[in-house]
Amino acid sequence: MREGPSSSDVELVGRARGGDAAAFGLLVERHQDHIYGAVCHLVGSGHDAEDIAQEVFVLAYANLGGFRGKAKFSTWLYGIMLNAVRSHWRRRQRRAVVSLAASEEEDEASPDPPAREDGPQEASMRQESVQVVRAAIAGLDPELREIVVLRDIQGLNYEELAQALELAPGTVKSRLHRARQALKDKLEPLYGGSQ
Amino acid sequence: MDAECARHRDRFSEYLDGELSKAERDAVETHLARCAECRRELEAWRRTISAVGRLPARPAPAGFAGRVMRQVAAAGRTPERRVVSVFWARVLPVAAMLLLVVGLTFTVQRHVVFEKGVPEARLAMARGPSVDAKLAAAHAPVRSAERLPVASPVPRVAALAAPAQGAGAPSEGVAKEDMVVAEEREGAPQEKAARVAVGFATGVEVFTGRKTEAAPALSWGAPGEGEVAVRRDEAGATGAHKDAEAALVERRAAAPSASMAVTVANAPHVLAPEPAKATEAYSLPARGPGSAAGAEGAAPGTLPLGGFGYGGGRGGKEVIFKQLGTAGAAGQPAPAQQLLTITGKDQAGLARQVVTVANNNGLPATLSLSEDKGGGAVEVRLSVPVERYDAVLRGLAGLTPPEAQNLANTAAATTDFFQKALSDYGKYQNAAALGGPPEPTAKRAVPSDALTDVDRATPAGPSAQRALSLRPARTPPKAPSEEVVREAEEPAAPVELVVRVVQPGSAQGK
Repeated sequence: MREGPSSSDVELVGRARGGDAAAFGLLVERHQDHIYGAVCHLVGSGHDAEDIAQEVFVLAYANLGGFRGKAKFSTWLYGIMLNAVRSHWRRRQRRAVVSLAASEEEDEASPDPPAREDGPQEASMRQESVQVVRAAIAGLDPELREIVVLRDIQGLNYEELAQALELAPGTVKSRLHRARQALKDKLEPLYGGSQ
Repeated sequence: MDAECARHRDRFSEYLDGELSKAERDAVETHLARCAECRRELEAWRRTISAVGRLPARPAPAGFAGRVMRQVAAAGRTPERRVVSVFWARVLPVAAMLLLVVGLTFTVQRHVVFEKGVPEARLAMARGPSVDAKLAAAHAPVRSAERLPVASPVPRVAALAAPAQGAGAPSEGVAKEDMVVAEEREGAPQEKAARVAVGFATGVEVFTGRKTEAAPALSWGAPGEGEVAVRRDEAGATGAHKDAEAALVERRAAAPSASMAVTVANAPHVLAPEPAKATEAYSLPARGPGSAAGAEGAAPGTLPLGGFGYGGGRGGKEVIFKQLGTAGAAGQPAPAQQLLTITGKDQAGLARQVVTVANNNGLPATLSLSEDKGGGAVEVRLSVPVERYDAVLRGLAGLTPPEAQNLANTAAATTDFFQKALSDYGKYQNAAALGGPPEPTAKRAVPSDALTDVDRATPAGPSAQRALSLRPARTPPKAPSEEVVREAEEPAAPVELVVRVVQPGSAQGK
């Protein structure tokens, strides 16, 4: 996790609760990349991702009173993010049912547009194509997608996964295993054995 | 792959995350040491996890935080507003009532029920032309205007409907039409109609099953611009008062763009529509285009919801009477108008306590909510007869540390309201719509002993006569007595006391 000490987050939350909007602004700046990045991996980049990520923070602000400090603030944010993303998926599902719009489904299945901001990090990925991996993640069942993004991209530990996903520790382990297994099954035929 | 391989591969995910115990890890590694197929499988797992983990980060777009903060500001909420568990535990019952009230507001189409001579009626008519006699038709027989006795002190109950939106200039013809409706309501079983009306507006009947023995009166202004005025002629109906107040405060808290007032009055005030009461309608200027029922549409920059403090129970310790200036010394004539500002987090609770003090002294109280720069205020307006002045102040002092009580003579902050109310009241009395001779004017003073009489429902004296006249079924209409007129000519000017309850740090308290 790329974040500062959680105690600082707690302090900022306290100030924000007291009406200090600037403190909340600091929290947004501190966590915006994590949240936006996770949303992108879950729903694809674009306007939807930004809208959802913004919604996450607006909801967080409105519900700061519900942050008890038992979990890290970032973990709590991820919980809100998951709810927002799931709502988005449900809306998309309803729209898809109504419109049978294939384009939307394609968009969902290919969450990222062609890499338009490839940098050195992108180039460093040799055999595995960024697009292939992203497509593989996008092809996972939503619940598997969530856990693999939070664990293998966002870096949450098992306890944080359990808190954000509201799952029992045993379920976290088994679900993560299934997610990685599914990903491996998708990716291995593409680049397996070539390394 | 045999069963042993499968068993160990099921641990690969945890193994790679370092989540296995030492014994479990040793077991996996022992197996890996002798199983090449599982080693290859483990490498595939590593590649997969590594590939996912090496996906490039996607930083938030430029300006993201700023856009978020603008949305937060536009939402106009404070975080405290959403301390869900405590909040809902306390407010849910009231919220349920509130929802019903709001729903019924639409249903009733903002009926206005009022007594003869109350200037609010004219204001209600000024809001627009629509006439809705549903309430009348449903709950009271209608009589023609021609058959009405005129100049009767029997209070008439009128059912008027304010327009849904928009306050236009009053149309004389329309007003006349409404007035006819008002007359048609005279002689109807006002108790029942008014009781139903109060039930509609406050949910009192619905929620408490309270029986109102006398005729309450109620006006329900267009939300967002107007007021909710509930007047009770029965001193004992404090429970209903509180319900109405609760509905008001909670509704206001949910609708910062709306402003409303609840008036709780005893019989003499209901019967003698005094100028002070007329100010109620004026003291609540339109606060802009509040949405219907005020449930939505809080404009950016309006009072934060938290401003009305859901921290009920906390305020008592933090109440501060803010000294505003010098007050009339003991024994000196009380100034005609005073402003007392109370600072406390639990505005609603404090305001209710103020109303309770007023009720305990047999006084009406107008509860209104206002917003200004820096926060909102709950204002409780009291028209305190001089005989009750000390008692009321003692009661208010009991809400706070004794050393922290001070009153300020206001520079007639509401004088304009009063004057306008007086003027309109006079015009109203001269209006030909009702066809009756003008009533006694300036019935401002209600002696405390008269209040006591009313409270006891003792038929003695002019005040008692008014009280009885609230019950037309039992008391025939009478012309205004000389006593009433004489009393009107010798008003003992009450103290117009405005108790303003503000949040700590509110600009209104400064």
